[in-house]
Amino acid sequence: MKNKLFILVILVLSLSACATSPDRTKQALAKDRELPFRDASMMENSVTKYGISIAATRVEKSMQKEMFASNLESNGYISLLVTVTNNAPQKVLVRAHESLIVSGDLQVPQTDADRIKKKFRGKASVGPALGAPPPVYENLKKMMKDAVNTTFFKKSLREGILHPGQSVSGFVFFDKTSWPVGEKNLRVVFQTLRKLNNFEIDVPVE
Amino acid sequence: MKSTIVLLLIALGTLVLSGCLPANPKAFGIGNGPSMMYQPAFGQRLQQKYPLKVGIMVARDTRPYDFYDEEDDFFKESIPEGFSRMMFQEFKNSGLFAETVFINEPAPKVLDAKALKLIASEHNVDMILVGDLIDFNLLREKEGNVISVFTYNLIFNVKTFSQLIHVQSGTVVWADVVERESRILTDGSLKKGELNPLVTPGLKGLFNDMRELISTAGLNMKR
Repeated sequence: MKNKLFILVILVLSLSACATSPDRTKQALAKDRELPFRDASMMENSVTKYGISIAATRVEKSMQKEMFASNLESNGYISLLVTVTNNAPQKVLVRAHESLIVSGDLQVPQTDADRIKKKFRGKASVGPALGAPPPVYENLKKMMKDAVNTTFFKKSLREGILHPGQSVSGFVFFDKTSWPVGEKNLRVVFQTLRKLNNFEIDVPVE
Repeated sequence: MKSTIVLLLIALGTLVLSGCLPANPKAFGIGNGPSMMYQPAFGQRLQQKYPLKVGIMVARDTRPYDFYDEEDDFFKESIPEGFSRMMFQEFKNSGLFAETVFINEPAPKVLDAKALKLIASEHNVDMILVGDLIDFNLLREKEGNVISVFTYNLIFNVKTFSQLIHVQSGTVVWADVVERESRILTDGSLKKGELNPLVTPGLKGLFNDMRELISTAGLNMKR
C-alpha cells in the first residue's frame, strides 16, 4: 500500500512539473511564425499592371506545416500565398475577399476559411499534456484551439488600402476538388480611391 | 481494498475539477444575445464639415471568419446590421453633416457611380457612407505561456474600410481603414454580461477615429 501511494505521489509531482512548462506545441509555434515577406515585383512569375505587381505561389507542404502546423493540401485545401505591391503613384483598395481562380470560362471562388480552421482545430494533438491532471489537459486543448484560430486570423489576406510603395501578403484558400486542371489565373479585384473605378489583375498560378 | 478507495477518490477529485473548467465561448442564439447598441457620448460635437445630407448604408460583410468558432449569433442584431446602426447613431450625433439618415439596405457588391446615383435619388441623399466590415471577431489568448495558468484575455478586433462618396460627382471624399482592439480578462469563458464591456470600448474608439479622420482628412468641397 505504502509503495503504491509513494509511486502515485511521485507521478503526480512529475506531471505537475510538466504542466508548468511553457507551451511549445507546433500550433503555438506556427501562430508566432511571421509570413515570408518580399516585394511582389521582385518575385518569380509576378505580373505588373497599372503599376501594381502581384505574385501568387502555391504553398508547398513544408511551408504549410511551418505556417499552419498542418498539411492543408493532403486534407483537401490548396493555399496560395499572395503578395501585392503598389508601385503606382496613388493608393488602391485591395478587395481580397473577391479574389478567385479563373480558368477559361470557369470561375472558382475562395473556400470558406472558417471551415478549414474548424477542421484543423479538431486535429490539435495534446501529446505534451498526456497523463496530466484533467484541468491542465483541458487547458492545453484550449490553448491549441486558440492558437489555430489566431494563426488563420492573422495569416489570411484581408481587404485593405495599399498606399504607394507598400506591399501586403496573405493566404487565400481553395477547395482541391474544384481546382481546375490546366492553365489558370488568380484574379485580384481592386478599387481606386479618388473616383470610383474597379479593375482586376490576373496572375498565373501552378 | 483501501488502495482502490484512494484511487477512486483521486479519480473523483479530478473529475470534479475538470467539471469546474470554464466552457469555450458559445453563441447565445439569434436574438438571445445582448444588443450591440450603446448611447453615444453627448455634449461633444464636431464642426460641421459637409452641409449636405448623408445616407449610411448597411455595411458589406467581408470578414473571412465568423465572430468566434464559426458562430456569429452572439448579439441581438446581425453583426453587419448592428455595426451599421451604431455607425449611423455616432455620425448623427457628431454634427459633421447637415443631416444623417440610415439606409436600411446592404451596399451593392460592386460600387459604381450608376448604382450609387440610383440609391441616392431613392433616398434623397447627397453623400453615401459605405463601410466594409473586414474584422469583427473574438480571439482568446491565455495570459503567459505556461500550461497550468487559467487566466485568459478575450480580445475583440474590429476593422473597417469605409468610404464617403459624393454621389453627383462620383468623388470619394474620404476613404480609409480604421481598426481597434479591446480586451477583458476572464477565466476563458464568455458570459452574456461580459460581451458589452468587451465590444463597446472597441466600437467607441473606432467610430471616434472615423469621425476625427473625416473631419481632418476629408476633402474640402466647393459649391
